[in-house]
Amino acid sequence: MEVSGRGNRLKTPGRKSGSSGFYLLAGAGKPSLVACLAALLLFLASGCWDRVEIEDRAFVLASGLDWAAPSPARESLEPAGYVGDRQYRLTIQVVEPAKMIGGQAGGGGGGGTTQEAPFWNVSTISGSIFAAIRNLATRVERVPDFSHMAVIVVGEELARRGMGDALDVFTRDNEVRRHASIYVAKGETTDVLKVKPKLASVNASYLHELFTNSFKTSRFPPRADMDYVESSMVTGRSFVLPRVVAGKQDVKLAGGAVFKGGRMVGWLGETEVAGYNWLANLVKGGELVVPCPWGSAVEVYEINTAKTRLLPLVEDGQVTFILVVKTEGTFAEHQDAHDALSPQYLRDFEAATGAAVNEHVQAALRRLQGLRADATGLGQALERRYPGYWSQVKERWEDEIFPTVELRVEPHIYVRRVGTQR
Amino acid sequence: MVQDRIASIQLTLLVAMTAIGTHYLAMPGFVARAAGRDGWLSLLAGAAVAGLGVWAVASISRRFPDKTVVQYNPALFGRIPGVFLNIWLLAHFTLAAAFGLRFFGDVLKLFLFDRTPLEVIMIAMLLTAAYAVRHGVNVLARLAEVFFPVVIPFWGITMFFLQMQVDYANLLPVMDQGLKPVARGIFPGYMVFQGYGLMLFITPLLQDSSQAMRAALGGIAITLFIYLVTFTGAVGIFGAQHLTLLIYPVVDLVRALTLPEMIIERQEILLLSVWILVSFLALAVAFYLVSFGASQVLGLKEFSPMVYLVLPLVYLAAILPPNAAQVIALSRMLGGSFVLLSAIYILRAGLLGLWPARRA
Amino acid sequence: MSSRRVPKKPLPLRPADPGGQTKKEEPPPVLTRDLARNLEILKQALAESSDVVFREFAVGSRYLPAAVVFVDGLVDKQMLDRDLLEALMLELALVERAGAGCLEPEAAMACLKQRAVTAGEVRESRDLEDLITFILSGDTAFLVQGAGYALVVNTRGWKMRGLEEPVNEPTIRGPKEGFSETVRVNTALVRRLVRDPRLKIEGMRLGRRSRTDCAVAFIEGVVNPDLVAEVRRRLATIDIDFIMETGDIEQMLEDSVLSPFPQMQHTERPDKAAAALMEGRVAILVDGTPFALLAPATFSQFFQSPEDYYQRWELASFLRLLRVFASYVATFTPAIYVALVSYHPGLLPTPLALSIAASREGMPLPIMLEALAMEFFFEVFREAGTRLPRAVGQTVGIVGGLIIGQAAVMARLVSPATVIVVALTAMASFVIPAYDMAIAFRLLRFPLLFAAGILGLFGVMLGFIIINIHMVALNTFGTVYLSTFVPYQPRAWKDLLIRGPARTLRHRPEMLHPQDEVRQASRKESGW
Repeated sequence: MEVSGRGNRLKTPGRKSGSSGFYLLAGAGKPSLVACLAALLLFLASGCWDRVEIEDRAFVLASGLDWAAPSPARESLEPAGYVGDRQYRLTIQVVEPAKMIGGQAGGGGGGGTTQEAPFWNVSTISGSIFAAIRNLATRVERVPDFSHMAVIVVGEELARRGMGDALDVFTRDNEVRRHASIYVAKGETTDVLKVKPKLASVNASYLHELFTNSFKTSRFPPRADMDYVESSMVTGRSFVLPRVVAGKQDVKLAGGAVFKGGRMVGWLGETEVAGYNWLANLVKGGELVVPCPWGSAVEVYEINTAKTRLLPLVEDGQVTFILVVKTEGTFAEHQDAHDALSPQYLRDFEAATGAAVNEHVQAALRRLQGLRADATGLGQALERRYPGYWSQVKERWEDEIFPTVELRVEPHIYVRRVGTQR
Repeated sequence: MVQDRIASIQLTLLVAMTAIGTHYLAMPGFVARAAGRDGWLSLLAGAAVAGLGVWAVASISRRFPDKTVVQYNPALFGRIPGVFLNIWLLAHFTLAAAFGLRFFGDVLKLFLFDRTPLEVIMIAMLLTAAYAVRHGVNVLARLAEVFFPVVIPFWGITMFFLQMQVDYANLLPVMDQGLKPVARGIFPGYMVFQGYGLMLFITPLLQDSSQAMRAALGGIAITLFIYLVTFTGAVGIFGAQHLTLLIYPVVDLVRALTLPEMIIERQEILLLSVWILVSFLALAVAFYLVSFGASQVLGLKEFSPMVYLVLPLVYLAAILPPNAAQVIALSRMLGGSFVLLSAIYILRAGLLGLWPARRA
Repeated sequence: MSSRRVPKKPLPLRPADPGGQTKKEEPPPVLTRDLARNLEILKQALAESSDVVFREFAVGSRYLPAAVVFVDGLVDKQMLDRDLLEALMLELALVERAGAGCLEPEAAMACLKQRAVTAGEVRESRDLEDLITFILSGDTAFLVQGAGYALVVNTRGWKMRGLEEPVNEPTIRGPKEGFSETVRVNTALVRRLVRDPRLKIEGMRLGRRSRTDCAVAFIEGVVNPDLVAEVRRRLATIDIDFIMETGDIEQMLEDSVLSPFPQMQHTERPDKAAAALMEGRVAILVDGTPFALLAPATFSQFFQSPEDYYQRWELASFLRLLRVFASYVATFTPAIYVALVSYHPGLLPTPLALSIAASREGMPLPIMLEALAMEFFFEVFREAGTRLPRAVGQTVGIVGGLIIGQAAVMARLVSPATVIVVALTAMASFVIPAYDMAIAFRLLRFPLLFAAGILGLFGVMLGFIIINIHMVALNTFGTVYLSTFVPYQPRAWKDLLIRGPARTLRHRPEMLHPQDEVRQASRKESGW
């Protein structure tokens, strides 16, 4: 602190008011306070432009996007302006909060009751998603609020024809969460969205919460959100979205849809997704069913931690990748009678597990190579390691080089625990 | 004339917050557009240039203790060029205030308000700023001290949680296209440090003006740190290519943040709310510099009447650009003007030995 | 209680003597040698006052006419009898027998003062105006024929409240004595805690008609002399007919009238006052009120309780943080709630948003009005609770809070979430130890709520900015209101939000610019 000017300190600084008398306003000149604040208030009093009470909002928890063949549907009776050659069917799932809360409070368990589901799926057809959303305003009495939308389901047909244009609104609009998960439905999205879940109250939270199981099984496709899709599309990379298949009473979330150039080119099966997860270092947990190395029984390795690293290697124009897999785990099921704690047995078991991983990975890679879609970032790994080589092959990578790539799995598998029995 | 004095830590914070208040939200985007994934090197280079600028201003100020830039300009450059430079400076900071106002107004309008008129948002900000500016630099400096500990922990927590999602491998390979992108990035990499321009006016108000250089360099260091973490984070999450498409990458960055258990969603609203503090401060500082400088050019004893003259000017300049593209053009213009100004002062400071300034 | 006396010093801050100027009949300014005339003047001045007693009697063997004048009820009758009347009428004979022939009319007064009056504190007064003030303050005037002056004997003693535990500032640990309504008792309480000879207690009178005794206390050598000078200067500018409470003075001394924030602290606790003096603050005590004023007061002080220093530092720090947090909750929660619910429901977790939406289904009022109304009625209940007799007050609380609140929710007039928010806010505002600061926060809640209703979170932030501009611009007696937080004084931060371990608190607060900065030797110096 300064030492000088002590005498001055007691006067309110910055004011020219006289040395005697009170300072009516601390530091502030009368005009500043009164003028600025009064003007501010006056001016704002006419406000409240953006206020929409929470009870007047229709919270959209999930949306479905389908390809709709151009047909004189209800909405297109009066086409608004230009209609492109694409027609989408947008389904939004609006939650009915009163019903939802009431159901929870009154019903207790309430799964078997004939109570109506607390959500409402509304569909409309239009050439533009934005127009479709606005179209819905003619049918839903509350203001649609997309800020809680956690799930976007894309129909298979639309996915195959390319969904980038349809998703643009959701990325451009700031109201939509970046973390909304994207799924590809096998078939129509409406089948997925109309499933009434048993445990969760709303279909959307059912779909969303399934992912919390992703550490339980490695056949789970990685959760994909808007960021991932947008990023991949912008950079032109291939990518994988989780697949959802509707049943009568439930949905199954397994397998994946492979996208290349913004269009879906094929499916990954459930075990192939497991391999894909290894390749992309996305394994969070799960199990590996392994044949018993000393017999024919079934043994199960449960993954506790898993980490993989891709090492590209270019030799004489041949690109090889080494996938270093490092995982620690537990002996989860032991249908055999061998002593699980025998060091030799554990070593053999670890080797068998490594072979199983290799099998998964190779299967996934073969599938991706068949689709000519490098959705696991092999190209990126190559680019980082061999930027020079990459700039030569960049153009031909996915269609020519990638299908010929060899991959070697180098497993480091450690069984740390065997449970409570030998 | 009794002047408010400010402490050197206050100058540090003012420099840092003025810099990040104006350009932070868009920074990773336009740096990446120029320099790609090597933008962080450009930021380093920009900071070095800013350091040079700080040295220049500090050494000129040492020649003219207790004088602000508009007072010593005529002595430094001669009468006519000095007056011209004064007008330029005032216009520059008027536009800087206007840009800060407009830019943040646009962001708020985009993310927070749909139907509230832009004018309302801007006038509300501006009147609040006028209220602060009237109290003088001391209040602004103290505000910086109050806001800094509010903003930084928030920023730190955000960046901390973001670290889990950042793939720093996206920064690789470094300089695969040589120095060219880095060099291209120096212009945007430097103009994001504009905040230190306030030194021109504020150095003579320091309690201990020999500390000016250290204090301002501290401010630049803070800014640099924040920029580097943000830029590398943005590249790590979006990749340089995606980043170039984003208009407000920092907002998107925060939106991309996945909090554990998803406690809150749409964190960007929270970020913007907190960022109002910083942007407000940057606006108020530019506003103050114009009012203060203009009062000195006109030889007024009190600067507060000028506030009411400058206020409509800033507002008009802010409302003038018709669309987002023009706002970006305004930002580039400001950057260019700032680069020219810095070049002038750095050169002049370098030549101080050869061409001593006339005593005023 | 002989220490109860009017300060000896002439009133330094009141060059012009108070009172008197307005009277039509200008009495002679000084006493005459004629007792009868003096009495007549006094009787005239104090006419129609039934509580003023004139007792005339004769002194000594020569039957020198004398009189005492006092106000019944303000004097300690026992003391008057014993130390004055008994001494003059009975014991004087003993003095005379001892051979002192001092009862010549001219020298009588001096002799009596020296040898007969046994009261502890006497002084001479020649000025009539002064004399009347003394009489009205509870002193006894003793007049003797032939002396040109009166003897003022301190016989003050009236019925007063005993020393009770401070009601408004209870602590769990710490002294239980509180100030009372007598300024002299209060200065004594402070003096008992601070035996430093450099503790100065300057006396003065304020109020043209009330002539209230005031005392300005500070520790010389610790306090910044400029601060004392400024306090004196501001006190000297008070020219008003009557002063009732320190609150009156506070409002006339403060720097900013428009500020909602208290700029001086008041306390009923001698330990708090003493601690403030030790920090280098100035205390102003006023007769007739148990509240002492401490100046300057900074923002952070209002979150501190003397107990913070009596308890271990971890607990004290936790409590301080709790209070600060609670004050933010009290000020901003309703506004943020309104902003989130009516502008940014996206920020709420989905289940919460849905449950609020469900509970608000079919509500008659928009959320802002609902919250405003609830806050308003909460204030009504609170005020009703304070104003009513204590027993009834509780009932009001129960009826207001529980029954009406419950019924309003059941009738679906207000949403339960709003009730929760308002109730939380109310509880949080009670955590702040200083009542006046708590009120400031409660007041600020309303404009903030309004701003939130108009501009959502942006409005709340603008409100936050405006409050902060005001606070950093606010100075109180030359100290920045937000000291020591702003401007940064890191050395003082170990006693700001947290209360550092006792051994580390080595310095007085820098912001006050005390003359003696060090208050504790370091561990090393003290030989720990």
